[in-house]
Amino acid sequence: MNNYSQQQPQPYAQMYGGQPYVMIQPQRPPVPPAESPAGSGKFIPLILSIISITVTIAAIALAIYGSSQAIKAPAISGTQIYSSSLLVNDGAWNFHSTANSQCAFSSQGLDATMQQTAQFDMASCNLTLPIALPYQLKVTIQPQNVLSNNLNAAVYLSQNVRFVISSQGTYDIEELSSQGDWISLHGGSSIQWYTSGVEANTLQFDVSNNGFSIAINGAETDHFTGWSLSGASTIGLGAVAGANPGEALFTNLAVYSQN
Amino acid sequence: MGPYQPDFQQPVSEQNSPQPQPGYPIFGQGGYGTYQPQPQPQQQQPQYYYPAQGGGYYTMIPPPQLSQKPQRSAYRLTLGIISVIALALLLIGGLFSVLIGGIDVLLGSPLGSAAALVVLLVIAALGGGGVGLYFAIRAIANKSSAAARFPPFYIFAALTAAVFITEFAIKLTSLPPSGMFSSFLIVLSGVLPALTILAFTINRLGNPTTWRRLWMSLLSGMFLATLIAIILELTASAVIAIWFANGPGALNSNILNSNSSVLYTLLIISVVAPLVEEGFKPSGPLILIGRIRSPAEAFALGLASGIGFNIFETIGYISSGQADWIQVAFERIGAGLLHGVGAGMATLGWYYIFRGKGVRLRALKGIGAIIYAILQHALFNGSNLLNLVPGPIGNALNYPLYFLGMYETTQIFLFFAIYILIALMLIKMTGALRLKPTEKTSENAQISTASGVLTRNT
Repeated sequence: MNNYSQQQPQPYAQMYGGQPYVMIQPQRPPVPPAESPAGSGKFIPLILSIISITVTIAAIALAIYGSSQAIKAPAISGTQIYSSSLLVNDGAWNFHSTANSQCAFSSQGLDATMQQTAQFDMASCNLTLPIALPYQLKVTIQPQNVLSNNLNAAVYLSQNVRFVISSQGTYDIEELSSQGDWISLHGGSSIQWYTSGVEANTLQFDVSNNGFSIAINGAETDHFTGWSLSGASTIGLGAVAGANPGEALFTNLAVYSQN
Repeated sequence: MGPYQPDFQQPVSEQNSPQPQPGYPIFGQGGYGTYQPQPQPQQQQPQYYYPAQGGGYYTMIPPPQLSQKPQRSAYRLTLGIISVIALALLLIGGLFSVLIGGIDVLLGSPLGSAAALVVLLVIAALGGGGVGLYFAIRAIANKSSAAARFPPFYIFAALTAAVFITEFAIKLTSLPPSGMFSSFLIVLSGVLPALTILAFTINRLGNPTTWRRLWMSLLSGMFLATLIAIILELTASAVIAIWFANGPGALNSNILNSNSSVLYTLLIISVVAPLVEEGFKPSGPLILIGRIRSPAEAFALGLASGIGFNIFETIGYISSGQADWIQVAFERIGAGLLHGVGAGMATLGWYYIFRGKGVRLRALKGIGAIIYAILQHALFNGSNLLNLVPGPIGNALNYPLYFLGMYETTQIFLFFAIYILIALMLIKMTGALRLKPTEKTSENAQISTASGVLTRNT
């Protein structure tokens, strides 16, 4: 690299046409000026503080307002026609056990498992009591940490409509097709579902002739219409399989008729 | 023969040319060189004499002054252009997120706590990308950036406490979480702890960097590093899963009820994840490694990149917690320490390796810092599986606790003990790297670096 700064202009004499001339080497062009200086930014911490405080207060207010406006589960009404802790076999259940799916009472509740998905999967555990529409159903699903397989619970609201929910709170409403496959009608994700794997979750269904609403842990999560059902329903409990076998442990089932 | 003296005084040009300033390259060296020029003595304008017809003399017109525009760095220009393109894509991504979120809401599909992730993506992409675009355009326009200054860290700490108190109050009063309305609170529960750590570090280091560099590092950690990490970790997980299927046995990583599942999980969280994440979190600062002025700045930029990574990851975890998001947020309150200090140490290590000429034990410091980052991450992730150890250790860590509406186990104390250790490391490192008052960042300051090299502001 040439060290131009250390070169000083050197005057020298040159003969031109017999006359001496003084030529001074041109000075190097001046150094360009500095960039336009940036502001000191001394007010930025104050601005950041004000913005942070304002946003936090707004978020807190919004969360409190939203929680106060959240729709709670409909109050239980009607006549209780069935109630059980599901810790003992009270004789009100039919078990549809195959090599692929099992249902049995355990010391911790009604345990349903399914090894793999198959056509015409049905409820492993069926309540023999016919239930007339409209009705309310409430059941508790035990957490993942008491299961040997992935939590994938299924509540059959009729023979061809079921509600499926996973350990992460993602759910699906499915209908049985004529080919024996369960087709998803509607799905979603519930912020009310406990995912820690140590806390049980409670589902409440309000079923009528043209649809049903779902409440999870005391807050309404979703409602589904466009499903026509008349006559009596058959309530079932079970599990569904995905890439791995699925399992669900149910306790505290109660059914209320609203006829 | 001495210099020729004219018979009459020639007019002397006005002294209107600016004098050379220390800290700027001499014309012709180009860019932001590392050359320290000598101060130039005052000199008059060059005067040229040539003979005229009849024996007189003419004064030549002095050469025109060259452009007074500041020199433009080709590196800065290139980086600025690339940043503009990348940030424009980020803004498009943010708009796309708004579209997707809006369609989901219109279709009546409840997002659940995933709404928080959508909110974060929108705010980070649009807001963060917009600010980044501003900085990138200023870089192309050769404008300087101010030194990054933060409010005192206890302001963010107090806001963090307010957010968590609100969350616990909502949970304890059995008010249901409200999806979209709670999403902003969820985002803040991930962002505010991270900002606390960042503010503490920048203030304690003595404001070693500029807003432009800090913001770009934050964005690179939030988007670039996470994208690379997701791709590499998914690929590695798939490869290892295939190997397990063909060898040790089938896996169900959701249920750690077999040796193969435990080994698989341990490989992923304690080997793959630390190597990938600590390797790529400093991506943004590494692009600037040639221009970083001090070890303090290297650590600060690395920490900012780690904080950006942490914000994205933490919001992702919290948003998958659904009704337990409060618990997840509480457990991950110190995750910014893990990611921030790790990335800061890794960047510091790379700085010593690339720029540490003349630093004593340079190789040891450089490699040691990088290994520390990887080991810290591996040990923290591995501690998540300690509760599977049979015997007294597992029993001690699995003891159930219930407080503030949360079901926890005693393992939470282990996590917080590790957070405290990492915080002590942060205090130590920031104390050791802290800039002296004479070294604080300013636009034209000459910063003494580890290698004694002068660099320009980018």
